[in-house]
Amino acid sequence: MKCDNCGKNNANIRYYRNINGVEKQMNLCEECSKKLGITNEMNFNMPIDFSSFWGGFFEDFDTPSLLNLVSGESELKCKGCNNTFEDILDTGKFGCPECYETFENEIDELLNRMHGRNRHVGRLGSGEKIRVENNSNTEKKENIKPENNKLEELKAKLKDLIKEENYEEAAKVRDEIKKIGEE
Amino acid sequence: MNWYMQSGNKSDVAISTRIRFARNLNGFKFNLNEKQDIEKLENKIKDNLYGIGYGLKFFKLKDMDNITKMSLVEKNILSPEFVLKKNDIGSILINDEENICIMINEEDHLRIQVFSAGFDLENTLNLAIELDEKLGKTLGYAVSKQYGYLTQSPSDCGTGLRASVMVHLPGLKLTENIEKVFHAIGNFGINIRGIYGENSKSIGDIFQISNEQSLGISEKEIVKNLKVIVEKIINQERSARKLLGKNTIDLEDKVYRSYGLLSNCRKISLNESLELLSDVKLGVDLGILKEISDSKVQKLYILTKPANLQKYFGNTFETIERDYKRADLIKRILIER
Repeated sequence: MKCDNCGKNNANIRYYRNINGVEKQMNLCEECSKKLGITNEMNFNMPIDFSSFWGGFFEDFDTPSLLNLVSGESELKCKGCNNTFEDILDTGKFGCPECYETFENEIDELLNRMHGRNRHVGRLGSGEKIRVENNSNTEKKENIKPENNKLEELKAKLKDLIKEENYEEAAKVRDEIKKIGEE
Repeated sequence: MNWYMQSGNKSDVAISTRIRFARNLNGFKFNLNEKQDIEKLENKIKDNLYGIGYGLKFFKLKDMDNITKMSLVEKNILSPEFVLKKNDIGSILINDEENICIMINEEDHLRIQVFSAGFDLENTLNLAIELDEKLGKTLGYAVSKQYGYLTQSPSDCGTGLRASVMVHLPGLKLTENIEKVFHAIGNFGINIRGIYGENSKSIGDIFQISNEQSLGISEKEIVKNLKVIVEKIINQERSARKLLGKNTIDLEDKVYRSYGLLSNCRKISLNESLELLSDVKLGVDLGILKEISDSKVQKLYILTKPANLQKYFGNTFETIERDYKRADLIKRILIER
């Protein structure tokens, strides 16, 4: 049997893992098992702390791309805190702000699994003022047609009326909005 | 009056709202352990305290007495982990109203928190953003264009925002619908947990509902999504209560029995009092129990917890003694005009 990781050497280590009842099995050669930190020595250094928050994000442990992700870049160290990516996986925590830049190639996939996305949107740092306003739309675009302006106004009014539970008046406004929409 | 003693918007179901931003300062590592680094960070904050405003005062955890610290944990203003594990290195900024509290050297350098009574995500977020902008300008945050506000744990980066609403759901519990609701929520990236946050059980039918994702989604969107879900839950809870109300005698019996126990007991544990208070709160919110006001219920919720109880009496008590004092305190509050 060939090693599941490199596919070249013969596998002589069988590795079992059980996270939250999900069992996975891997056959590895000695070299790859060492790279991954899976050895029989007492002071073995697991690259992934399965009890940590990140464990669950490596469900696809046996796909080659992720395995390289774990084993490949182990030499890379963060300039800010001297942590390797393995160190970070161990704890599930970054050491310093620079880690995000250093391990940019590794973390995108992880963040995707965690948040469903991996790029920030919205407010960032001082200067940008994006206050969430109550019941009004402050993001006014240029060249708004007069009708659109009225439409926005009516929509805001409708919101207020619904909040006040004034449904009678709200129905009227809703019909007005419909009318404009049809025009 | 402090926010946690008040009742706010939709407070028949929604008890309180919290907005939290996780922030880290430029030029520091994340998890500060060295004394000199911690001092440098603290000094930077203290030097700018006047400019930041909001009546915030600086306290080191190790300089505060245990009962005061635990009383803040009981009000959900400080996290239990922070007080228990970061006692030597943590500090806080807090105002007199206690609606703003910044934990310093918790998991991140700053955990900015703003609280309000009832269901009020927009105003709470607006105040938090205002405060955050000011802090960012004076202290300088670690940010990246791609990943937003950088945090120690990747699960917090991006907006660094966790918005949460505390809700009281006895109706859904009694009608055995609560699991169904929780299951439905799971599909929307929304978390639901017991009252002290992570890994905690719910006591007295109180739950905390919060957003899961913080990256790739704007603050506005996070709050909007959470608002929609919480509104749905509030409506579900209200219809469950209506359903319970159809069987008037059973419900009244349950409420008045709990009220009777609370008013007449001579000793009572925290857990029992929380369970009974849940019935009493339900009775007050439904207008069944007219003997006491909802602000009294709120007061009971806070003051019967161990540290707040001891703070109220100005003394430390052993567990058994606390149970006597708790019964005594409940009676006092129920009788007082």
